[in-house]
Amino acid sequence: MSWDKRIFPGETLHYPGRMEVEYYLYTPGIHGLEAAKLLKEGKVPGMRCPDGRLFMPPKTFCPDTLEEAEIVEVEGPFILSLYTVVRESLRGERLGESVVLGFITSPGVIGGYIGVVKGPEEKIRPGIVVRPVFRPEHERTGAFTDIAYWSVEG
Amino acid sequence: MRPNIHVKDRVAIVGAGMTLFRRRLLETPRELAWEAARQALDEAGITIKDVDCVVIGTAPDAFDGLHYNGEYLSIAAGKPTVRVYVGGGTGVFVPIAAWWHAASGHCNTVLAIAEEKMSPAHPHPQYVFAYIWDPILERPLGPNLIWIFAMEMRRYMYKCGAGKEDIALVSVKNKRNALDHPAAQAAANITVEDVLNSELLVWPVNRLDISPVSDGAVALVLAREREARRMTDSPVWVEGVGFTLDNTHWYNRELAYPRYVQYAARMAYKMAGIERPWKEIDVAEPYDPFDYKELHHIEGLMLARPCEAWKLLKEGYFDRDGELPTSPSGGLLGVGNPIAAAGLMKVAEIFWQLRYQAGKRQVKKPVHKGVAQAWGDLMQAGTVIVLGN
Amino acid sequence: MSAREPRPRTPLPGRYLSGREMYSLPGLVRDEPRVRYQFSAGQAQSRFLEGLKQGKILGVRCPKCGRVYVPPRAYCEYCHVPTRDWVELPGTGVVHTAVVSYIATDRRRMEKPEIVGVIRLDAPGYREDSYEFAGLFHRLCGITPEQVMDGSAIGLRVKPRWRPPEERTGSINDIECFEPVEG
Repeated sequence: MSWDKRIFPGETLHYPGRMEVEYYLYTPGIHGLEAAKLLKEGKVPGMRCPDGRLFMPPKTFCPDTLEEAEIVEVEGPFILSLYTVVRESLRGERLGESVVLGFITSPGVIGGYIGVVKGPEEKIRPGIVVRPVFRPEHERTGAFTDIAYWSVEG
Repeated sequence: MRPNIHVKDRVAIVGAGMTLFRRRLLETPRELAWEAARQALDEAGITIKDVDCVVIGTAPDAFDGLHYNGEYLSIAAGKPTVRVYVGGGTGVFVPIAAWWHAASGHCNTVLAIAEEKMSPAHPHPQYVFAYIWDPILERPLGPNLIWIFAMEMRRYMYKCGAGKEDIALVSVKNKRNALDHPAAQAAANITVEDVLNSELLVWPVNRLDISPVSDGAVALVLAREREARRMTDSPVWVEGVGFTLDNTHWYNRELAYPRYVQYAARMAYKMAGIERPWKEIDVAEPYDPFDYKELHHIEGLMLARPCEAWKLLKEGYFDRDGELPTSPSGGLLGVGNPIAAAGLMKVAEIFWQLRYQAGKRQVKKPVHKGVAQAWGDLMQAGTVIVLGN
Repeated sequence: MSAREPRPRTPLPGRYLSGREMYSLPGLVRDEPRVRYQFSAGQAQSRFLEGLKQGKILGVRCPKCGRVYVPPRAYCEYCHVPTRDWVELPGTGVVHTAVVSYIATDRRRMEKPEIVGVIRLDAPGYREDSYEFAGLFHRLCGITPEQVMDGSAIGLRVKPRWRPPEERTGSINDIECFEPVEG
């Protein structure tokens, strides 16, 4: 039993289609609201579990025990643990200015934030201290993008 | 009744929990799963540390807006976790998959979660349903999902001689039943006239024939026999599981009868050793996203003969104080329809009914065997679970 | 824990919001998916669509069980052998079910109601099955909403109304609708 098989792409017909949903609105969640308050005040949010462990960013409940956590401010210091230099956009276009993306942690805190790092290139290495720079107060919405970037000291 | 196939270990449900079902909830999808899981764990008297495996069910990622929805909901770091998905059938498929984990001896205690957040999709979650159609043969006709249900309902009405006012009784019954369900979103005391006078969308479907769009989550804890008997003195045993997937060519099939539900039901009844379901099942939760669907599924579950369900409904056969109560919870029409979580809500209801814990919703007659069923995709998926105390 | 305490235990978790509350939440994030797709019609469907362009409704037969598939599949679902024999169906059929729609795909109310349904096609030489049949989902014209509601539309004999040849593109819309056969 044979069957006629088309092997050239032009022989099968193609139809364009698109995603029907126009946009998504993601709610911050019950603890996201408290984190939003801290962000609006220009503070970096984290979460503290009943056993004393601190996590960054806050995610409502403690991972191993499912207990509810408390949203607290992480005061720092903040360390640039890892970073990478991005030279191309998502669509493959060369960027005018390369962007440094870093993973920022704090001693004694589990986890970290991913963010854009700005500062003199020769100073950027793993282990340096960075400082969060927030958007101007009237522009803050309570989302994590209120942290505009992390600045290299000095 | 002796079960008809050999399984390594009997498995029981020992706890259940859920969140409210509402049109919009503040919680993120993960928070919903967490809240429901905590309720179920509390009822079972254990913590997450005692759970061996996790089964997660969540339907189209396109509602939550997260493409890795199962993994995103993973709340038990490091434990064996699997996600299952068959559209609306997911809700009953989750405990089936959880049963596999336990009955095979692989896991002692399994946490089963089903969650859905439909509110992120804008302008309206209905848009997501536009994907369900075949992009080449069906979408160019500009269809709305309600068309397919309307066509099925029309065929059922034609073949079985049922009228809109007969079918509207399901909506009246379920919404009234839901008045006693604490999580209910759309509970109400309505009449057949209210249903017939509500907004006409696609004749024969009116607005009150349809279940609402919802956010919500439900969770169950299952355990193998020895564990189960330690955790509770009234375990509810999983006696039969069945599942089926038909093809997507719904317009090549007789729409008045859901054979995919019957296949799944036969599989579950065979395993449970049930030969005459209409006599042996005491309480049922058939899937009711639309009112006629409950009748459709009652017949697919062989709880009534084809085309007989609407007549029995009129006699009060399926009321809470009737011979074979269906949807005592209030179903999707009354409690809400977060796509994946709705089916698990029905399983939880049978669980609570069999333990005589359903409060005001408890059915009048003594109950020993219950069945919950869900349906999914394009008139395709049938999932059935039979529980017994 | 009392065994007779009603379940689910209240209060239930879940904080509900009205539309207005949701849209004014701090920390709300908006995102727009920008995805486009190119769907391939595949082997069997391409042939079917080319047939539509030529004004023919094609079906394909399984050499083993004799089932005729419309829309065609590349293999038989029951026998799992490749389908082989292409047949041209007369195009006529019987209305299996019909409905009157007052809403469009995006839930907007339409000016004029649209009548759509499932048509069971005549497939000569096909071993008849009471549950499954060769069929199509399409618009119905020349039928009134009253006929749909009183049931006289179901069972009506219909035939396809084709668009003029120069307007056909190889799509399901090459058939404008199915209309009742005269007489």
